[in-house]
Amino acid sequence: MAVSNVTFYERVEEALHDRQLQTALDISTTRFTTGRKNALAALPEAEALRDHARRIRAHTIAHLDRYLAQFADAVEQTGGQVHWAETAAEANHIVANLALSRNVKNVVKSKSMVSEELHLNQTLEAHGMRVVETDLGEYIAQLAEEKPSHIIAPVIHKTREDVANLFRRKLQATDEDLTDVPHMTALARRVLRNEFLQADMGVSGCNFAVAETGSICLVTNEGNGRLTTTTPRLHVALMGMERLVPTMEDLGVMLQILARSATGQKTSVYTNIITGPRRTAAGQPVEPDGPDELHVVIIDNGRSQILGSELAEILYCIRCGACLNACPVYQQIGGHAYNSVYQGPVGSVVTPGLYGLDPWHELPQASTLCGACREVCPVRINIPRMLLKLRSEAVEAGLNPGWLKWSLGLYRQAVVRPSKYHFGSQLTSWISQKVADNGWIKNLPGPLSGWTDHRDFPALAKKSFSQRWREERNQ
Amino acid sequence: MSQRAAFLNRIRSRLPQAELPEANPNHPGSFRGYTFAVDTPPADLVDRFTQELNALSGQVYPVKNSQDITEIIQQILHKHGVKQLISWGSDSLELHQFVAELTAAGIEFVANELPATAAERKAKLAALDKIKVGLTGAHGALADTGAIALISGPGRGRLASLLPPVHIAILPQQKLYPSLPAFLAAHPEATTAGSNLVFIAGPSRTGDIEMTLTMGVHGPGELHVILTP
Repeated sequence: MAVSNVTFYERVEEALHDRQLQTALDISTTRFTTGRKNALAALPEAEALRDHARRIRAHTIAHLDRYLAQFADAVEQTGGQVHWAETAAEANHIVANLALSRNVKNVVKSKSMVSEELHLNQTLEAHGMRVVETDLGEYIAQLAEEKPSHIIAPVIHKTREDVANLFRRKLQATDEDLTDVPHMTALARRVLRNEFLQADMGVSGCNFAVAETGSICLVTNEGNGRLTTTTPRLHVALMGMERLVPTMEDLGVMLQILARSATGQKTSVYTNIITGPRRTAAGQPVEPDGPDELHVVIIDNGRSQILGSELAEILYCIRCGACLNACPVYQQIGGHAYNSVYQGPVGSVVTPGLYGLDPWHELPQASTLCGACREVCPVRINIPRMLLKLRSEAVEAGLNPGWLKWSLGLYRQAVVRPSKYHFGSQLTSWISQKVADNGWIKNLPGPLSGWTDHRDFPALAKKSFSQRWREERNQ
Repeated sequence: MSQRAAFLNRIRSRLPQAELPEANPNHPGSFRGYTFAVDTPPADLVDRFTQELNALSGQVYPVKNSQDITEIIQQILHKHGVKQLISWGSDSLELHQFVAELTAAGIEFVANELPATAAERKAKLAALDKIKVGLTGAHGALADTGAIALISGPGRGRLASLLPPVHIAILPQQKLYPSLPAFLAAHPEATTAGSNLVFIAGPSRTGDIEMTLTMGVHGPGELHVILTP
């Protein structure tokens, strides 16, 4: 995975000073968290349902080999084809070969995180194909040559003026096209409709796959997921190997909590369940439409690495984005700062899990360990536990800066001896009083500046707790 | 070794080291008997369905007979100034005498069979894209969310509910279920009967630009459900 040479802290810095981003984050994360809370509160069985969903995911991952085999057999029985890709390169190769052998020129895509993980668009474009994202947010991100900044709302960092300027530049939009958001959306519909009509291949992701029936489930609000999997004669579904549930009944359980956790909707507008290609009898189609070919590409790309580790629980994730919205760090820095397809608390586990801690060791630090992510997770993934695990691995691997180890060593020296501890705390208190401005420390030098760059730090109390304790007792 | 065997073996070799809290060797089974009504149980399925779909900007029209359907469809076509519909085959539509009546009145019902070759397929799609209204039946509906369920099959294409900006669906009242799990329990064949089972809850929508709710971005911007006895 390509790593930008801008550091994590520089990206955070940039995000914190981006006023527009801050406003967008305030509005969107508040709306999503409130929506989620209300939607789940209206569900009398919500808590028990979450427990049940967690048990389904845990059981599925623990028997992933069996359920994947069952799923693949079922897909083949309905006339679909299954491909197995260990790496991103293999997956890209499979999709490119399918497209080339069928003379594909135009490709439409519905939102797929795994395809972003693969950098599939670049691969197909290198073969001279035209690749168009069709989720409105993803399309805007593609036109702007940017990456999505949120699992559910890819361009929450953009204002309507940004989008209007972009449409003017890239789509030759007129003033009338840009009157308001509905007009802009109508323009995007017209442009993208043409892409759907001309497409030779549709590439989708997969919210869930059902082992017993060989079905792929895609949820969208816009309907682009349905068009992508209906108008082109070739449908390729990209599936991370952990996206499975055993039965349709299990899918029913997951669907009750996915949209509620993601956007606060009771259900997404379109819940699209695809079982095989357009049906045929004696070689002739018996259904009026749908793709003539369905290919499912099952992708590992580092997931088996995560599976065989203490991070395996992150594979329970159903990609709702609730942990992003609830995270006090994400709420401040937004998605781009993580510089990865997977952002927020879940991303801080998945990204180092898939690609290794070097250079991603800073991501597990981007958390206050407050536990909000675990609390809102529909399948109750213990993300803080895994962030701590990754932090300790980073220390063992010597990935943290030298001064941190040195100063923590000093700290340890001080706190294991009461005399040194008392002297140290009195000294720190005295210094903090000296540098404080009205009781607040605003600038610390050197490596300590990390504490004060983005917030003020209260000066230490003049008297320590133990000092006061002694004094009060003596009175 | 085949790609599949290698892939599955890799998973098998990793599973013993996997830390998977609450993983049980047995499937957890059904949730409270499965047909639970997840939300407040709908006292009256029709009322609840109507209320939910209205909240999503979909329209519901309870009718008594085929004549009522003719009138509603005529009104919608008239409003949009068109005389064509992409339609499911009439044997997949409830009370389908209205098809003959509307045909006699000059309304054209277009089937959406897509041809086999790529070029012909694109030409047919381009022609269908000009039609402003789609007409389908429905295999079920969910009172707790306002969603309707459509299963693809002979004479029952996906495009009629997808391509045009207006979608009209004819839903028999007895096909209303309290919830998605209740529907799936009553129709275990729903997923495998055709290549596509879709639940549609209101018109297409997006909030991608500044979280401003906008209808009809890719799918239909209007959804009309005609509820037959």
